[in-house]
Amino acid sequence: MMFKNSIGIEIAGKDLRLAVLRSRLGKLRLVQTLDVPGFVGLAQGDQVSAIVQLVTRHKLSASSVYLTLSRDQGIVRQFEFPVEVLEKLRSSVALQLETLCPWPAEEIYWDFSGDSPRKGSKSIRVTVAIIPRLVLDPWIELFRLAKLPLSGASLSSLSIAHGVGSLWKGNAPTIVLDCESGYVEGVVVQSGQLFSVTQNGDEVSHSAQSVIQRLLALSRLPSLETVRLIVCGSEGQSIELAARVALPIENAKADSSDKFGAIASSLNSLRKSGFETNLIPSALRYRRSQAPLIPAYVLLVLTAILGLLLAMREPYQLTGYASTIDSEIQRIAPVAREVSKQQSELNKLSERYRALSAGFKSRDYNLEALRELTRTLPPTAWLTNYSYQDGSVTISGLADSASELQKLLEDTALFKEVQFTSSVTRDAKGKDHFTIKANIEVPR
Amino acid sequence: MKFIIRDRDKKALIMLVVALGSYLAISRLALPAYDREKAGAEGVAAKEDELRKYRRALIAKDRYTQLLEQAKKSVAEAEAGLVRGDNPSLAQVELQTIVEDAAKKVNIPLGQRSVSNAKKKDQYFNEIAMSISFDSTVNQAASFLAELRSSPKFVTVRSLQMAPLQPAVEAPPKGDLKKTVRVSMTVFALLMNPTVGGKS
Repeated sequence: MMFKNSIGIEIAGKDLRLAVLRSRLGKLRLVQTLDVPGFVGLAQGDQVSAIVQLVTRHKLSASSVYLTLSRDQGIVRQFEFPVEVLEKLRSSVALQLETLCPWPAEEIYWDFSGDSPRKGSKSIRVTVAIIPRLVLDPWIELFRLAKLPLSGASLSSLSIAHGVGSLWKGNAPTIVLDCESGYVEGVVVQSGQLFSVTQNGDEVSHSAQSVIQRLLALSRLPSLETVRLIVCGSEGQSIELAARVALPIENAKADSSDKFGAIASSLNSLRKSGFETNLIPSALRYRRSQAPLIPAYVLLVLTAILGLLLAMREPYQLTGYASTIDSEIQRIAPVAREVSKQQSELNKLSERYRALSAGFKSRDYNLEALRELTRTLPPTAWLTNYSYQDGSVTISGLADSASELQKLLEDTALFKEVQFTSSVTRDAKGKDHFTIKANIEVPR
Repeated sequence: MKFIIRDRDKKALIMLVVALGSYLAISRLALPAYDREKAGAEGVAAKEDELRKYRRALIAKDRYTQLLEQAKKSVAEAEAGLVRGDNPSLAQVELQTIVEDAAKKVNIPLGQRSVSNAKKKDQYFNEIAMSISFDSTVNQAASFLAELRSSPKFVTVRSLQMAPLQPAVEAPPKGDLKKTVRVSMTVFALLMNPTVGGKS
């Protein structure tokens, strides 16, 4: 899941500590940490009320709630199995339970975890956690009544080892001291190995020193200098062993390591490591129903479909439209082709008619020219020749005044560009010999 | 060596198969389908133009039918004025007949005459020419021209030469002036170019 909220609850000493972590695309963010001091000493009803108040006041909501109980409530052991039993690991671990467990098998809850064997490794290390049902069942019921049902449970040393394994990669040794009122629990995690020690006593500082010495001896570490030391718990602030370690979690403050137990508990459902165990059998684990998410998923799918349809809408509609246009074109194409043929025929006819009209307009104007000459020329003018050639008339003859003739002809509507084609000569009788050419202006 | 498939390997394989299936579905089905739709949609504007053109033609169908009838009628009427051009000899005879009939009507004895072969005028028409000469009075010549013009076939005088047989420069002191003129003219007639296809 890309976004997930997890609540980790640690019940250690007399207190209940709670951390809310949010995983967003694999990135962790500490939302808040809370605690209920003296929680263990309350009556069951008051415990329920305290949790309900906490949930209500802080509007706690998460997809998983993980409980971590102190290590002395159960048993934690590590084994090494040959790598060949990897596929039958669960049954192999189950066989070992009888030798580990002081309780009958039907009265316990157990779980185990193991790192994936490295290439070439001949053995696999398995961490087993066992808890009596009598211890865990009341807590399951209590949190169910408090409307904060549990998704998982683990023991403190395992939970802390898981927290260390999931927050810091690599094999650097880490010691976590959980300093509570009356005891100090120490856990060292090194290269997949887990050692834990509990020292009872009211002197927290003294107990812490003792626990560290024992852990160094167990893990064969030379000194604290090469070790990452995390001190947490209600009494953690009272001892001064080393500076606080900053947790690689967004929004984690300098003192957030004081609640490392609760934070590690919440990491059980967010990250994986070789120490991940869940003591609550799967049938009793609370799983948030996915039903409320169904409408969201349906809406998401519908939105995606809607988006897809919107993207396809225009091309699809245009394709449909194109097909409608095609069928319409098919329907009217024969008629349109016929009309086109008619249009083409009409154009040919028009052109032909224009050519005919132009031919007919090129008729001669001899009659008009003769009539105009008869009307215009004075009685003293005599013509000796009349010729007509392609729209121009040439006349020759004698007149009292040739220039007067030119003017008379020019003034007519029929003739234009009237001019003498040769020089005018005057004979002995006083007559002008002329040759005049005029173009015929085609009446419109 | 034992081959072990762990859960995470199974998940990776399932995701690989899903990714491969998605890739194939998108690249082989969805995108080609989208491209087809898109391509089909792109030709819409051209099809709209074509349909618009066809519809305009459809609307103009009746008008075109009328116009075509009218144009055919006009062309037929105009072509009635042409000399028949199916056969060059027939055309020559027809033009000669027209000219001689006109001359006969106005009592003009035609002298020398010659008819040329048909020549191409333009892509639609050929033309045929007839040269004639005669002596007549001016009135007869004018009547002859009028007869030619009123001929049912279109004939035109392209060139005309008219000169008095007896040139006069003043009215004779007694008696009438002889007004006989010598006329030479070339008459043209249009005929259909047989290659155009004749009458419509």
